[in-house]
Amino acid sequence: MHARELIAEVLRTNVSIPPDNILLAQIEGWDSLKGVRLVLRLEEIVGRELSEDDIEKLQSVEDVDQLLKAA
Amino acid sequence: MPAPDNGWVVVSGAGGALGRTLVSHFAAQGSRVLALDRTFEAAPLTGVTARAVDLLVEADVRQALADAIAASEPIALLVNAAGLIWNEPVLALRGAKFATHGLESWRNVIDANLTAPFVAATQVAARMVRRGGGSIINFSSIASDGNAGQAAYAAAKAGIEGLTRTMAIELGPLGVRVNALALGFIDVATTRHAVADERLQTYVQKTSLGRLGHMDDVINAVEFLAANTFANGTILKLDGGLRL
Repeated sequence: MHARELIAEVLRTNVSIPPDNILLAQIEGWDSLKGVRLVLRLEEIVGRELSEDDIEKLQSVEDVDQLLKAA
Repeated sequence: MPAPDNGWVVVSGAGGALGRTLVSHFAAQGSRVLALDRTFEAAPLTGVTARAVDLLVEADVRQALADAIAASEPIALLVNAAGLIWNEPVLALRGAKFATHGLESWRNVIDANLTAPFVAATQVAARMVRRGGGSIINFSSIASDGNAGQAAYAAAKAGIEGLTRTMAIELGPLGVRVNALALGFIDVATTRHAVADERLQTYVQKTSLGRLGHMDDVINAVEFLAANTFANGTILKLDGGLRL
């Protein structure tokens, strides 16, 4: 799964997700609850609990993509 | 009612009359039960894991959960039975002076009835969302609509209802359902201690069912909210028709 698909799923929206280098916090409709949803979905996908370090690094769409690719 | 193998049942305020009854009930059903309270002054709870903890200290509650329940184990249900009934008017005449509701007693009542359940609910929810979800049940009261002589208690219970609805909105998408029971007068020692017999009889007469609630009525309602997977943000009034 690509990060953009996952973020759209978390946002429950069909709008296009901005470029990879944009910060998650700058995405329209993004808030801390969406952040929790993202972490929980990522944990499902990668099959492990994310560490606080992992979560802190999730700043941008690209960061999400890198975590997905590393799984 | 969570199946015994679906995860732990956590009861906060487990040292009180309501909490003890719930703990005994769930333990008898075969659930693994973690009982939390500041102290357990009455007879020790048997067949359950009990932890004495200050329910107002987040770190202590988090540690008690971590000590008793392995991170890999799910928590199916939290019942927040912590609380106390408090009667104190906003304004009273003491001798020739007006006396106002004490701030200390206000804080104690808000702490016991709102802050302690908030702490337990947030700490348990953080565990639940990572282990497939769960159910949280809070206790409100028909006093949440306002009740003369119970400003702090009514405010705390109204707060619990707002907290319940808000947590239901936020946590529902994460698999955690949050509901509350708004109790009328239940025939337990704490009710009889807080309400004079004569006044209690007046309430019984005003109740369309003509009786006080029984603990079994409360347990049935807790089981319903725990088991019904479409109940979320529900404030279930259980008062025998007193406020109709």
